[in-house]
Amino acid sequence: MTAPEEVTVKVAAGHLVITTPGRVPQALRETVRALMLCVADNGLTGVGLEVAAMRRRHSKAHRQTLDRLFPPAYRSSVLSARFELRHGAAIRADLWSAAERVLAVLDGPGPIRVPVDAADDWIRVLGTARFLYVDRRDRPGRAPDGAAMSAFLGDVQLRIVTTLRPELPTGEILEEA
Amino acid sequence: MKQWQVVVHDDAVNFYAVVVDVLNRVGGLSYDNAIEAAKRIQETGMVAISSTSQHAAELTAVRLRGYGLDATIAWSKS
Repeated sequence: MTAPEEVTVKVAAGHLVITTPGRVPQALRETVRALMLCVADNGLTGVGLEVAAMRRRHSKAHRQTLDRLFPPAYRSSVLSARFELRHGAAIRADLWSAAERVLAVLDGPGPIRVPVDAADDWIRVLGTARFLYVDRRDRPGRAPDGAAMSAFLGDVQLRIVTTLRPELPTGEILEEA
Repeated sequence: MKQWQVVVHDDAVNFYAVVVDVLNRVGGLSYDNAIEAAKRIQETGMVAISSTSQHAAELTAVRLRGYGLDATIAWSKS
């Protein structure tokens, strides 16, 4: 994946301007689309047949990915199941909508331009998409396949956040600081 | 009434600055309290950021989890 220093983020005329090497937008598109397919509820998206086919092919992997994206909210499996019933569909729908908006601005040529008031979609989608590739508990020493992509997404997310809020303390990954 | 806590856990993924930002903007903590909470997460592995009704705790957890934070809900014994 692209080295983080090859990506720049700045604010200009009410937009975040994300400049990347040419191959990055395509990689981001593929990641965001994978996230959408993962969280889509059949019937929600108009791509229900595609989602259903993907899940038939990869049902176990899909379940594992969803578990990484949405870990239990309670220690109790009963309470976690109730939480899922109360909030799961809305969480997935909100994330899907944010990902759709992110995808829309990835289609154009040149630097990626994101209205500042839409930056939150990017912070959410980048933050969540990492779990397509890694688990919260993965340690650097036993990084799985996809760790580089996860690290790249996290770095872009960090650059967006600290560009918008330069007063924030810089620091490392949470557990390493 | 039974009180519930939103607990934010340490992880190997999120950056410190992002955690502070999300706790501040989304979790309802002041900037200073968000910094303090992020420090405590690093030091102790987790921090309880609110004690409230179960419904309110779930809504806060939903918002935080939407940014990739590891937020869970636990019964507050205090």
